[in-house]
This record gives sequence, C-alpha cells and structure tokens, in this order.
Amino acid sequence: MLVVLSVSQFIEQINGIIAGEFVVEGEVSQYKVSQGKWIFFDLKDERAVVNCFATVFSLNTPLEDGMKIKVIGYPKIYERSGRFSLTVQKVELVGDGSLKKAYLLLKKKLEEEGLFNKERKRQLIELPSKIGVIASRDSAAFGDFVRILNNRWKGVEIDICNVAVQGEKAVTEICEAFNFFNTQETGCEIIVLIRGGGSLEDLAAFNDEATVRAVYGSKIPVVCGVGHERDESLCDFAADVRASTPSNAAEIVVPDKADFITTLDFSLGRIYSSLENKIIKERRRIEQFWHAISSILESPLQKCYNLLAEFERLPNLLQSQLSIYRVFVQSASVLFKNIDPKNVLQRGYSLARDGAGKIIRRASQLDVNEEFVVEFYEGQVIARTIEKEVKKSNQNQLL
Amino acid sequence: MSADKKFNFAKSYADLEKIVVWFEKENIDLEDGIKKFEEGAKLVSDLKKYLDTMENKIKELKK
Repeated sequence: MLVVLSVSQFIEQINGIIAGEFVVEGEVSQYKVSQGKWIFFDLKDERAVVNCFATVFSLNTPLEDGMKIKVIGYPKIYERSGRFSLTVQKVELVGDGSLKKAYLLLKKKLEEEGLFNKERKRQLIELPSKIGVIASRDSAAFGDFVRILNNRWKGVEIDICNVAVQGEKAVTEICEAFNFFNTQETGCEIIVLIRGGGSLEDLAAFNDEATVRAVYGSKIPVVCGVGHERDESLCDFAADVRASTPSNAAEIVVPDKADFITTLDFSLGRIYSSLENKIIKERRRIEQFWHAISSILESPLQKCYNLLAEFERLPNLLQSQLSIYRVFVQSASVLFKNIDPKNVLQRGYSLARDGAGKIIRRASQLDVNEEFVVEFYEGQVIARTIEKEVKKSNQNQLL
Repeated sequence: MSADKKFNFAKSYADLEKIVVWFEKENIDLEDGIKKFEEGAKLVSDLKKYLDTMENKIKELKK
C-alpha cells in the first residue's frame, strides 16, 4: 500500500532521491537574466533539454546562447513552481568556440565599464630601481624576461612572486600577488605580469574577470606580457602598458644600456655646445662693446690726427706761399730798379729842387734870382736863376 | 662607486635632465653654465661608472 504524500512531502522526497553533484554537458539556449540577479537558461542536446538556474554572483563565465558548456551543479525541483532544474555551481566552457565567445563577451562588458580606457593608462617610470614580477618562476617566460633584462640593463632589483599561470589556482594566486605588491611596502615601481604562449584555454587565467580587475585595480603601474606576438589577453588591455611577449616586457621596463650611454653622451654634448655657444656669444658681445668703446674714443683722436696732418701740411703751404712772394719780390725789385731816380741821374739827367726840397718840374716854379739845388748822379750844386724862359716843352708834356 | 650605496641612479639621471633643460633656456648665465656643465659631466661619468659596476638582483618573495 502506497503512502499518500502531500505535494510538499513528495517534492522533498524526490529532491532527497536525486540529490548529488552532476556534471552535464550541453548547449546553452534561452539565456536570460532576471532582475539583474537570477540567471535562467536551458541546457540541451539533440534530444533533450534541462532548465538551469544560477545567480549572477556564482557564475564565473559570461554565457550566450549557442555556447557549449559543462555545468557542475545539483538537480532540484522547486516547491513553488514545481519546476525541475539544475542549480549551477560552476560552468566550464567546452571547445575554443565557447571560450572565444566568452572571451568576447567579457571583453565587451569590461570595455563598456571603462577598464580598458586609454585615459587611465599611466606612464612608466623611466629608470626603475625595483620591479615586481608575477610569473611562474621556472617558466621560459620568466627566463626570457630576466635574460633580456640582464642584456639591456644593470642595477635593478627584481622581486618575483611565483604563481601558477594556468589551472585552478592560477586566478587566485595571481590576484593574491597583485594584492601583495599593492599592500606590502616592497618598493616596486612597476609590476610585470608575464606568461608564455598557449591556447585560449591555457591563457584562461589572464582572461578571467578577477585577474583583469586585479590588473586594473593595481596602484602600481602594470606591464602585461602574455603569450606570443599575436596573442592577446584581457589583462593586456587592462594593463598600463601591453607588451607583446615577456621579452618585450623587459625591453619596455628598462632602457638599453648602450642606448642609454649614447643618450648620456648626447646630453653632455648638448650642454657642451650650449655652453660653447654662450661663450661665442659673450665673446662677440665683448668685441661689439670694444668696437663701440674704441669708436667713441677714436673719434676725438681722429680729429687730433686730422688736425695734426693739417698742421704738417702747413710748412709746405708756407713754402709755396714764400716762393710766390719771392718771385713777386724779385720782379718788384727789377721794377723798382728801373724807376729809381738814381739810375736816371746816372744816365746823365739831373734833378732840381727848391729850398723846401720839392722837385721843380716847371721853370715857372722859380723866380729870377732864386736859389735852388741841382742834384747830379754824384754830388749837387746850389744855383741861382738868372733868366727864365717859360715854355712848355714836348718832353714836359710827355711826363 | 659600487661601494657607494648612497648613489641614487634615478635621481642623478633626473638631475642631469634638469641641467640639460636648464641649458635649453634662451639666456644662460656663463658662470652658472660652467658650474652646471661641470656638474653634468660628473653626473654622466658617475652614471656610466654605476652601470659598469652594477648587476641585477633577483629575489623570490615568500608569501
């Protein structure tokens, strides 16, 4: 005889029978979020379908219709609705297609939230003295990073935080490492997060929302170098600087020693030529000053020189003036010689003067019996007028 | 130089950069310029010496 059960008792008993953890693989359909908290979707295969229920907080992976997933959960009939569903504890993506879809979904979500904004990227310190590295200590990635770093630069301290970079523990350990560097006074100026290449599944930890948020939330600037040249991870986008590989991360965080020394020499050269320019300028300025001063001094001096030169020309001038005079005097003396009365007397003429010594030119000037002096070339006589004959001679007229 | 723990590489480099910037000015004072050039030359030589003597140190953190 079967026991009659109430509906509640029935569901309770059934739930007891079916209790347990199951892993079910299938394709997502009818995915929807209710009130921002509850997630409902169907998991189906070619022949069957099962309802799934999850909370937004418990679901670690973004889902979309068509994705192939493994659901880890327990089956339950809900008392209120009588609906049978699988309560999801964890979801694992199956196949690259699903991973890719989940990756793109999370990328879009975080992008919209502003985690990848270029404006928030910080500049790295140019010459770090201490670098924190989050990596697997024994990985080729860390080996490459150290090798390139040593080739390029000296004098930097590296604190390595050894973490799992794939598998279950990876996300937690990476997040803890970020927390460690950001809370302990390690003095690290840059955090470098590195991992070698791998499939999308291998790199899952670097595409996990928690890891990306740890990168985003780091107070210390982060350089992320995950995978090969072509690989991209969401941590890359959230980091302040994205390196294409772990080796590239080393190239980013420290300068090349040879380049640096060239820069040093160049700097020294620049300040040297600047100083040299200044010296040339100063010299030119002094020369200009000197030129100005000497021209001020030279102008009165030049006047003196000019005066002196003029003065020196004076004797010549006088000399020529003198010779003019000399010629004049000579010709004058000849002239004077010609008109000297003495010369006339020498030729046989004589000169008559009255008592006052005045030259007598006309007979009318003399009275009869008047004494006068007759002057010869040599000597003179006193004479007296005996008779006078007043008549104009031709010669007189000529004179 | 290697024994001189007090040498601060980043600070010395920043000082050198400051000097370079100072020299970019239009009008520099000649006397200061000579002083700063000497400082710059010393910084360059110290920085080079430092790079020659230093090694990178790796330490694993215990969590």
